[in-house]
Amino acid sequence: MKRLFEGRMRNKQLLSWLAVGVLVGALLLPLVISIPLLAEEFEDAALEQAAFAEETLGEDVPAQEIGYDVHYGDEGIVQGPPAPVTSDNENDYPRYNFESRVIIWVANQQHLYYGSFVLAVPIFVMIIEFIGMVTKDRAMAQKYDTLAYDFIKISITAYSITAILGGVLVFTFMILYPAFWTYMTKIFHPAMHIYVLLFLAESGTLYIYYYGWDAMREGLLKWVHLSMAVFLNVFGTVLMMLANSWATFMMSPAGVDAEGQYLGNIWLAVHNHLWNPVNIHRILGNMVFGGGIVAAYAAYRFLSAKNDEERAHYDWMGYVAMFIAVAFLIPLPFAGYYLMREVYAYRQQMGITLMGGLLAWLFIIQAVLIGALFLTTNYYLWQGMERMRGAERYQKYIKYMTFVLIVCFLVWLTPHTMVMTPTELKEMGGQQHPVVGNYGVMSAKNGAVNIIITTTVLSFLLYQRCNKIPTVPWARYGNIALWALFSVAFVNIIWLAIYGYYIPANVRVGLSVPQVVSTLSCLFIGMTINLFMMRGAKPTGPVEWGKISVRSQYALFMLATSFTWMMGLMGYIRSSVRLHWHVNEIMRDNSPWAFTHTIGFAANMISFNVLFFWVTLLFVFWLGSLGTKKAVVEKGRAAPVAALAPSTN
Amino acid sequence: MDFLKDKKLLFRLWIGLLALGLVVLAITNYRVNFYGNSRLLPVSLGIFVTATFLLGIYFQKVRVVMHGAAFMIFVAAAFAGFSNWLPQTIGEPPPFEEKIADISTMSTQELADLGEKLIFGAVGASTVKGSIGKGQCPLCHVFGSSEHGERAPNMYGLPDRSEKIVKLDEYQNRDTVQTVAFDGSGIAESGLEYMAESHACPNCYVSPGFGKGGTNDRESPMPAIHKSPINLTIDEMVAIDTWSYIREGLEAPSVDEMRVAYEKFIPEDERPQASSGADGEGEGGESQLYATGDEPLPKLFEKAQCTVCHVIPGIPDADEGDFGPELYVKTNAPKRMKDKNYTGSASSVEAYILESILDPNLYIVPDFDEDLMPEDFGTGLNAKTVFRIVNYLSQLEKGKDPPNHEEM
Amino acid sequence: MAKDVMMTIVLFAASIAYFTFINWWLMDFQGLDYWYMFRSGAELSSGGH
Repeated sequence: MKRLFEGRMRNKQLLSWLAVGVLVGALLLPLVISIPLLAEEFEDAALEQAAFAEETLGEDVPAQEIGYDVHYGDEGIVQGPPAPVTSDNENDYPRYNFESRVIIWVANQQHLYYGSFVLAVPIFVMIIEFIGMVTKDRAMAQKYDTLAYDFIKISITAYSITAILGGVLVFTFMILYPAFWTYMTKIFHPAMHIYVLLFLAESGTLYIYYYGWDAMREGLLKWVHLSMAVFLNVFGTVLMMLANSWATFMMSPAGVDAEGQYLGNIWLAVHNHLWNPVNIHRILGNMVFGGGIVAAYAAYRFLSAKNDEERAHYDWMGYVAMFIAVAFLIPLPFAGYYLMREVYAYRQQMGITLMGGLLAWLFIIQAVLIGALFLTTNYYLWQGMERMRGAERYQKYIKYMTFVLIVCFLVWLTPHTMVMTPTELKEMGGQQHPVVGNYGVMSAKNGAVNIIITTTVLSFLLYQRCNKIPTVPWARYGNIALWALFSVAFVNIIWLAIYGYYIPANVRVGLSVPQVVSTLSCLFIGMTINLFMMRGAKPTGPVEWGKISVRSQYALFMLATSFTWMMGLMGYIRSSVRLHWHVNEIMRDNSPWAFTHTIGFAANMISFNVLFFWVTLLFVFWLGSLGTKKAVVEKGRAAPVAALAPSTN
Repeated sequence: MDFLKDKKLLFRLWIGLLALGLVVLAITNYRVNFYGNSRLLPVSLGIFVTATFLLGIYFQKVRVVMHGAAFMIFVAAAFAGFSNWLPQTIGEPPPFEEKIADISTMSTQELADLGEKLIFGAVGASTVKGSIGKGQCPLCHVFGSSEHGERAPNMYGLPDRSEKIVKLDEYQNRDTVQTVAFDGSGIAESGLEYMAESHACPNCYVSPGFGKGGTNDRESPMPAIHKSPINLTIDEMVAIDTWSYIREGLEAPSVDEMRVAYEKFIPEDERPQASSGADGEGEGGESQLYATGDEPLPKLFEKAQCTVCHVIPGIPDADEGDFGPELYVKTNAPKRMKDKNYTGSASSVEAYILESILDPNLYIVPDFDEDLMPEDFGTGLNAKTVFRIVNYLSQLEKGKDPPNHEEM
Repeated sequence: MAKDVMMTIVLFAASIAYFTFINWWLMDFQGLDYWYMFRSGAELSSGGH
């Protein structure tokens, strides 16, 4: 495609102006659409006024039914039918000879996987393109630009698949859950229209962005190109937030009264209680997920590479993608904490169902996944040291770090209480094991997970400095400071974990805050000291991209699969917390599938979804590898590998 | 056939067929066990791993894809396997109950049916022994004309009796721990109002002989049923009262009259809404569970109704029940299991407690009444609740300090 | 060499001081008493610090 534009300078200009025109048009489109909507709201206000006037005048007019918002308590005129009371029949729940919920589960999950991926990729394409533009070193700048282009290339096929899956999902809803779907569209139809139009705008922008990459390579046009990436992400984020509002409406409905009658203000329905917490959590989650997929793609290309240049390029790409994923993985638990806090604020019962009730075991599985993710990240970083001369100095620490990580991992996933038979109970002498039980309580778990994260930070620090020898005059003291920081932090985290056993529960819960801050202190202070120490450091040799073990690439596969699995798991938890409700407390699920499956069944479904996604993604990768094989080789040659120190990322 | 002579190709053919066979086996296993609880599904994934790996070894062109895929399937299988190894429970939806959004549109008979359902769990269940509904009334009250109430007054003849009670001197000049439902509510002036008052404020007047032990009938053992854990709405109580009238062939007062009566004794901020059970178990109308199992132990014993009849050592506020034995189970259970009247099959303290919850009449402790303890706790308590009850009770020994309930 | 020892002591002391401070400060911030276990019973009954 890129060659199409070569040597056509005039076309370039034309194309870029066309692009800007389309962009402006696309931006204005939603506004144009929303004008009738605004008019509708004015109409509402007028109606309300009329009703009020007639009431005060005492005239006998047909009464406007007034409803009260089930969440915000606002008064509003009833404008929609109540939520339908469904029953288990072919009208409300048409069905094949199969569980409808499983079908919708697969359709939803696949759409979400692809959707997350195509929303995440433009965000880091934007960042990488920007880094490329401001990098002074031309060769390096070119390398970044190529990387950004490679990323967007993968997402372009995925984008079409997302749209197709969206269609599949909508039809599945209409066919299998018509009563529910009708109800939802009656409330959200204006938002759904905007959604469709935004989707069109995003498609247009994406295609121009991708196909215009070469044409808009220089000067001002490059900035126009970058600004398209910004629009692309604005569209994408708004799209996702709209879709989120439907999902969160089902969890924490607003904008309707207790019977589910729509009260005329779409904003209240969109801006329901859990909307923003889920928005934040999903944006971060998408980034982690997108990074994981690109890392797996790079690993796949690395393993099937035919020459050293290709290997070097894809090794680097895998590293950058992994770095993005982990960088966003670290704030993710905080967003999760915020979401959980809001869930408790919305309905305590919902929080209890999640953390202490029916779904609590799923969080044990999540703990295992998180542990596995951090172990794998460390493993990858240690493997990555192989591509640097000078790393031998740090190899000796790896075995200790492995030991610490494994011990903490085991503590982290030791369950506190188990469901047991009376005999088992008797044999163990109580609900908790006399010895192991001590490691299952929250105090020990908090300590363990914080040590896991701190160790990961340490691994990364070592990775960053392993091919450099610091030359700053205070290097010696810098090292002592790092030693002091990390060892005291480790001791502090362990001390707080132990201390927790000796003080009452209400004081103990507070200890988790200093523990987390100890970890974050290591992250920020440690990184800062290290960064300054490495200024003007003497390199012991270039990063030899491509000289990394095959096993390390399997670690990337592991990360990608775990992210995908975790996303499936957390999505399942989020959705199933509604229990037997389509729309929580408003519309009950009266289909034969209103029960909550066992975690084993759920895990099997998640595995199926994960593997189905990766099989189809393989097809996408294969398409991505078609026709561009030669181009990659050329670019690989153009990039001087010597300049790439890991800390520049 | 030329390719048969090419040994390498032939070998690959066999490997390919073997892998294909494995894939078929895996898919069959998946199909057969899709809904089973045999936890065999991850085995399919394991077979897939082998098949893909085999293919990857012998088909060099797709080696990377196959090995990558095999590894990914392996990871997914590991996670699924771990999840299948954990304890499995299905979360059943609560039984469907129609919202009683507007009882004033119901016919009197429909309303009475709803009342019967609230008391006994189903229409027509009032004649079935041991049936109990959301209101949990039969836990203490009896309803048959010839039955004798042990724990609480017989509810037969209540409409008539109420009319008489309000005129009694003892009623009008009462000396109970709480003489009015709330400040300014006043006392009942009609039979109808009396029924409302005794639901909303059981302490306001205690039928002679039915007070809490040791309070000289100044305090009632009955909870206010519009409050937790029973949480009946005014409309639901109206339905119950309607049933009380109808089943004796009396004409029930109108819904509005009854509502007004209840509103007299329940201040506005205490009126439970006809919610949809959103606030969880025990509230609203959607759950039959007594307790979620996540409560602190004292709350859990209270919600599970144990404290109504039993003294439970170490649990604050569980020191008054005297319809059932004190629960020093660790001391008593071994003796009882050896008793000649013991008809159960438990051989441990834990099993004995579990058995007594599920089938209380297997052994009746001397001096206590048979058939007093409801037999439906097995269906009304969830596993977690029972588990915690058993865990705590099994450690209670006479002459020793009870364990610290805060840690259990 | 003496300077190294000095700096080691100083930096470790600084780290310990820093972490002790955040422990205390973040507990205090939540209205909790970091020194709970070390206080005498009399002080506890008067409501901690």
